[in-house]
Amino acid sequence: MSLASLIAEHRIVVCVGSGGVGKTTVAATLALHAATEGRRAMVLTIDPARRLAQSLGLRELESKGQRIDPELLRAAGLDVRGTLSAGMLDQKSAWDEFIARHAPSEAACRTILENEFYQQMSRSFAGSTEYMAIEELCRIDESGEYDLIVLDTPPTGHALDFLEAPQRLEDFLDRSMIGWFVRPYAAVGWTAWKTASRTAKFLFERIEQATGVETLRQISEFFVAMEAMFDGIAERSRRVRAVLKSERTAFVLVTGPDEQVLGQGEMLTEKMAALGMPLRGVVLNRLHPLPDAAMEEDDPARLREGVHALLEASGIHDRALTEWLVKNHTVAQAQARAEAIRREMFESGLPETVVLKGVPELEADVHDLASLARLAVLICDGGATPSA
Amino acid sequence: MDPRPLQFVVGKGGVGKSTITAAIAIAYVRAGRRVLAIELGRREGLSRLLAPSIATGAEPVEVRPGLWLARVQGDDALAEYLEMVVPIRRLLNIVFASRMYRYFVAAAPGLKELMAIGKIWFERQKKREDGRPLWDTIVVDAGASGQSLQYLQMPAAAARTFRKGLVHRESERVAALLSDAETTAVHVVAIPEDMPLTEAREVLARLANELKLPVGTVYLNRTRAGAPEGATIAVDALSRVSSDSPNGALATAVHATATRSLAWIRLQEDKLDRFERGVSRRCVRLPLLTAEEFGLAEIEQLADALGPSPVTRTP
Repeated sequence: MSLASLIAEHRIVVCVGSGGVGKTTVAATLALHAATEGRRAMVLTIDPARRLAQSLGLRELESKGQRIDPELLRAAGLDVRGTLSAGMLDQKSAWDEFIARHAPSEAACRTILENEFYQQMSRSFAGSTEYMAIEELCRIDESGEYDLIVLDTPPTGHALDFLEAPQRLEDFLDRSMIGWFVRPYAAVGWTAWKTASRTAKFLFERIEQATGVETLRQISEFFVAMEAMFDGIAERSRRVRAVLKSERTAFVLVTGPDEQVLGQGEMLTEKMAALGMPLRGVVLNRLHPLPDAAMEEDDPARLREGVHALLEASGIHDRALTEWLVKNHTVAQAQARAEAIRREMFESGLPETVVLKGVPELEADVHDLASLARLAVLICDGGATPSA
Repeated sequence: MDPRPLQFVVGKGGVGKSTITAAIAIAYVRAGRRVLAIELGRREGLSRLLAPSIATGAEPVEVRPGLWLARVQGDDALAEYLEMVVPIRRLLNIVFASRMYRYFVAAAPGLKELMAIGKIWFERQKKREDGRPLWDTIVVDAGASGQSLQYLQMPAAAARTFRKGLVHRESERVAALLSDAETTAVHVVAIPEDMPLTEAREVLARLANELKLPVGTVYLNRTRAGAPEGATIAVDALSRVSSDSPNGALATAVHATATRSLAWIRLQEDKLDRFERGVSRRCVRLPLLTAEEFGLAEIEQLADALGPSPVTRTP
């Protein structure tokens, strides 16, 4: 199977991987490819550096998503039969809207939005960006406006961090835990609470000392206001998880030739399968392959001799130039060889069902539509082939 | 090199922050300093480079003469902090084992970042018997830009959020250390590609305007050395060699690699020129190294590129 047919068979593609491997660019490329194939495609990114906007020739990306002007696509020499749209998640407003959707009343909504604990949490709780990305993905999916949505996930230290995020949020909203925070405030106050258990007494005394009672009151107020919304949020969270695990969704790992993940192919696929989100494709980005012929001569002395003879024959008598050409060539060979070894090791750890696509480093940065289009040809082999 | 005793290294993911942190640390060790290299958060790039066979944790471990290595994670730092303020081990164990504690650690916003930076502050306070600081230089691999800025801004943010109490006082002390231009420097790493350079520009602006932290050096990593004069003419000559001639295949192969390099060098010079003119900061270029396996030998090479100039005060 090719990557193109993998994309063609799915409605949602989630690109995972650590930062700096060209994940955003690959995500945009996959959406662009689907658009040229006639689909209504959207790429959703979380990237605060606005890199996607740059590569799509836009100054800013709106969180709601916007259609790329067909004129721009045509000007870049692209024949796009479908539509291409792009959006960027604004984490803060995504959370606020999420609360607004689930709050039972306007007053409850206001209480939460004005709560300092909430304001901190929605910005910095580990996993909250990831969860909101998935939430937005599902909302866009439900709108029915697109045939394909490509999600560019936030740069994580590790590809698995993203997939574990929904679980972390569910743990956070664990009713039995939250009860601990809600009860004392609703009842008589912290004093009553502190008699509950020795651990809790200790912990809360410390927190009180450290932060002042105000902080605890804020936390408590937040959970009290949230309580009425739990059933709705829990239900939503189940639906969101179902979308991620459905047959319509494919997970694609984007990685570079130097990444740590290359040593962990087996571990990664096993863990993803266990999470119910199996890895379907891998883009091995920014490789530096050389044609076989260029790998042949690897004895530096003979290489030097040959290059020297070639330059002499062309009337160039400059030793420094010979040295530069030889060094440049051996470095390129070493790089290509090292990458081939790493790729082979990684591939041997992958199940055969995973589509692997190597993409060479382009001689120019990918930062505009025309170069995205060139990359699309490399990644998707020029066109989607109907699957058997 | 920068004389300041506390240095952070930040930059976009994949630009070589761990490598440069390691090289900076080694360059200081060569200059006779007692150095602590710290890896922030749940990663292991730095320890993989500097001490692949030694298990590192929160407690500094000497990995070569003059160089100590520690990994600082927020939850461990919090546990360590509680151990310091609560000397009763049995009670602590009950607390650490409770779901409640784990829940609180996961949920409290910014707590982990705050504790991690607090731990670095604590290392900075340690003294030798003669009263000098225990570490001449602390170098911190602070992770990808987004994450590291979150760490660096947390003390000031916490001091604002908690208006009184212990957290407020301690946060203020740490924030003061971070913003002290005599003590602290935040270095930014980029590579000669558009997007990492753009992110570096944004990070530099945020450090100066929003976080108000002292900026150190901009390291431009993986730069290619320029081609010698006449390279283009030589490459042209190679392209004219007939493929049937004795060295024809060699000419084609060498021509291909040389053309690729020349294209990259041209692109790079253009980007770096624009960047360096735009940011008005001290920029240091570090060479692109290729190795089958990136290891200590390559780090030493980068340290060569950073040193051996004596430790001097930058303007």
